[in-house]
Amino acid sequence: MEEGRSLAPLLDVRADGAIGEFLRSPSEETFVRAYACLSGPLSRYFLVRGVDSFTAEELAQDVLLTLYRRSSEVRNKLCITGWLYRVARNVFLQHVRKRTPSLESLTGKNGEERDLGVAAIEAQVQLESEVFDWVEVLNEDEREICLMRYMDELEYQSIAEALQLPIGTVKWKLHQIKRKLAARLRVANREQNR
Amino acid sequence: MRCTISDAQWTEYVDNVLSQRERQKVEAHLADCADCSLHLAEIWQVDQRLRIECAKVVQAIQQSGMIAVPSRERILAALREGVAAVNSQEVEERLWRVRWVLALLCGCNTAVGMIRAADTHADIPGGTRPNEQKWLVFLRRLSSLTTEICGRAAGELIWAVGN
Repeated sequence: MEEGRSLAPLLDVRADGAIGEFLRSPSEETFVRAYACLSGPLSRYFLVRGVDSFTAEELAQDVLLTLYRRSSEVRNKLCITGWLYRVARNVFLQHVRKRTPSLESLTGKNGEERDLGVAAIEAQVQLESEVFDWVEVLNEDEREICLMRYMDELEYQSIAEALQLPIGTVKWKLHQIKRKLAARLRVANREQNR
Repeated sequence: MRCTISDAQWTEYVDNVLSQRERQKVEAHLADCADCSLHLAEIWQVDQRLRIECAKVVQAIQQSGMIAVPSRERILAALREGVAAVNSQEVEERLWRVRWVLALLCGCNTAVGMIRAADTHADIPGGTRPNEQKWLVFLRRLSSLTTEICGRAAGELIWAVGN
């Protein structure tokens, strides 16, 4: 069962092994290997939340330096991937807070960051994905869980650790998300058939 | 019919991680309940579309070349710079603590004079990026000066605050 896993892996990289190796014997060499494995998924985490590629790389670097500094403390964590994404989320929120005042002064609006972000990512990857429209019907927490599950491909345990939620709440919210999106698709289909 | 499938069970069923026993229970219920079967079809469709759309975005990001794996040299440079920046920040915080305690012990003017005297070699207060080694030289000199002027307890206090 999901709850029984001690170290939830990322699906698309050998992060589990690379982090494990670094935590067992922290050194510059093992850190370089962990960095090479993790910088991609972490940069992607920031990119899909609307950060430009240069800043995404810098923020991913901040996360990985935190891993380096706190390796002795992290070693005993049950879900390292979840911890790493919690740091990533905090780094992202700090970045948004720093940017928000300047955006507000320019536009006079709150929440402009997200709109700019979605437009930016779509422009950057030259792709108009429906997924960014769909998640608009979700609230902030649901959107984050949805992106973590489907875009970052995290396990329930890692999402729970990253967002500091009980694992049952994560599963419950994932179903609520699908329920909301199903309702939205139903409306969209009905309008299309008219 | 009373539907007993919880939201968490729905999620686990769609993700195919439900235990064999619970899976059988859910399937037995689905065989009898038309509403739940319809609901499953909708949820499953949403799940599949989310997976496909997100995979498209991930693939587009990978193909766009926006994520480049940095070279070993760049990673090491970032690591050393990051560690140095944190050390520098910590040393600056400790300097402020020492300044305050020293000012309380012997007054502002004497404190400034002592810090200047201790700084002869270490270049701490004026230095833009003090490092750990320079800091320890400075702190040892300042602690000795404080012992001479204010007594042993004060010197030890400065050493403790600075560390």
